[in-house]
Amino acid sequence: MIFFQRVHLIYHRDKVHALKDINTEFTRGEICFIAGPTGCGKTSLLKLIYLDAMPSRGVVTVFGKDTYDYTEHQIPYLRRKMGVVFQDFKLLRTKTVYENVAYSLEVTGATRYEIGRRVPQVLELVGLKDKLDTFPANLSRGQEQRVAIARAIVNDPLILLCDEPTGNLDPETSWDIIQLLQRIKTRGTTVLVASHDIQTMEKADERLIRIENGVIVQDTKETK
Amino acid sequence: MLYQIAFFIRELRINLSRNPLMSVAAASTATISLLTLGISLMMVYTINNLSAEITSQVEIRAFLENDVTNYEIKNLQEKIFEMPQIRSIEYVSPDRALDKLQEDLNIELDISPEENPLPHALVIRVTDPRQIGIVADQVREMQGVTELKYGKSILQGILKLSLVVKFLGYLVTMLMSAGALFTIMNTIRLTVIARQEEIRTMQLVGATGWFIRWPFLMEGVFLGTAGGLVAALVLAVSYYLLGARIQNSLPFIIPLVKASVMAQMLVILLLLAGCIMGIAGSYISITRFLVERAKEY
Ligand SMILES: Nc1ncnc2c1ncn2[C@@H]1O[C@H](COP(=O)(O)OP(=O)(O)OP(=O)(O)O)[C@@H](O)[C@H]1O
Ligand SMILES: [Mg+2]
Repeated sequence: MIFFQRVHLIYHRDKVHALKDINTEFTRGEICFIAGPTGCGKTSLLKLIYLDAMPSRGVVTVFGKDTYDYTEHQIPYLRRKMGVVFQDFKLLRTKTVYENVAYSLEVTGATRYEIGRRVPQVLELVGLKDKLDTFPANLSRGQEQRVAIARAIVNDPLILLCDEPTGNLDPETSWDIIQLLQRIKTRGTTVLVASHDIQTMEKADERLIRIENGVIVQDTKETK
Repeated sequence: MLYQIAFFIRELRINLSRNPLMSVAAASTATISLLTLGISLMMVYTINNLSAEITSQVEIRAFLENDVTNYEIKNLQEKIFEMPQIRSIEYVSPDRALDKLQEDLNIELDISPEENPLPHALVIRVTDPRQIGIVADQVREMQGVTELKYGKSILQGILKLSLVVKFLGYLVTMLMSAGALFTIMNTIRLTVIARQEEIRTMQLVGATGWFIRWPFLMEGVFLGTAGGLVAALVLAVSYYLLGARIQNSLPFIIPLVKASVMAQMLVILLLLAGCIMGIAGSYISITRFLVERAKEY
């Protein structure tokens, strides 16, 4: 599903070497946690997958195709097969909770019926059924985070990328979310979760990659 | 497809209603710049009308032989009327010419019809004053015409002046249009910049360029047209109210454009201008933000 081959990412403007020689692979129906201290390059790794950044060296392959080979025109269609929970949520400020989640379906040309069926469903799944008409500005951080999760999963993505999906949630809700992600994995979705929350990740007992200073220092899949 | 259009319209409504301050600001800037454009349009229109009115007053006077018969006059009239440039022909008999002369000069002349020195005359008006020379040359050659008069130098003077004024008017109008376009474009660009983050997010959740673009284009059209409509109404109403007053305060009559004609011209042109400028402005500003910037780092 996703391949990294000798991938380096350099932010030239700031002269930051964010990722160094990343070699790894994420397969279909796999869930993988990515851990590491702040600034180690977790977000950068995910950006390479949803094409918000391009490798400075090496090759990133998504759905069997080098990310450089996706044309400007194909990129939106690629992104519709992914769901992303952004670290800063990136909710649309002028839209309500319902509209934010619906937007991911609107872009695909889904029918009103589908949208009306699917959106309340996922919002119930993340426990926000009573906030449909609220604007992001009137939500708590934890609630915003759950809207972001709902938006990422609403169109049944093949790849689900979660950047700190539980950063603002209490341990109990965090655990609910992790279990939700594990359930999504069983449908054949590749799930990547970047997080600081080592305890929860270890409790989940799944593949875990540790990154330090832009380098993969441990991958439980290889040591097993 | 229909559902998508409904979605875009809903998006437009949301954008306008949830950003009311921005929308009002953009629409008023559009209104103000279209107002200035409208004023220059009104001036050009008035001047055009004025020069057309003045030059259409210019007439050819063809004098006929003294012993011309009614039959010959009628023949001559018909022959001249065959020319495509002719608007009207009027026969003025020596008697009528004498009456008119007395009336104009406000004197009583004691002249019997037999002594009347004034010739038979035909007063010819043309549709396009620029054609008057051609018509004059042809009429001069006709059987029975002895002499011919028209305000050649005055006419040429007026034509030249109106050409210069027209040219200046078009120049000013073009500058105003460019100014309005620039202002409207910049205003819309501000609304786009204010929502740059949002546009990026839309791209990241898989929206195509056109999916993002449509609501913005519609917003541009809406704001531009709204601005054009308000500007047109303000100008048309002021023209209706002030035009008559200005006319009344002047000692002479200026041939003003009728208020209804002016209003029609303003509404059509300013709506069109607002609409085009709105759509062009939003297309240009939004397209710049839609380039995928992934490779920029
Ligand atoms: N757009 C950017 N331009 C320049 N440098 C950047 C950019 N984004 C990230 N960096 C730098 O790249 C490095 C890795 O950043 P990244 O966001 O991937 O870290 P992270 O592991 O996600 O951190 P955190 O846990 O705090 O989210 C950092 O040193 C950061 O300063
Ligand atoms: Mg991060």
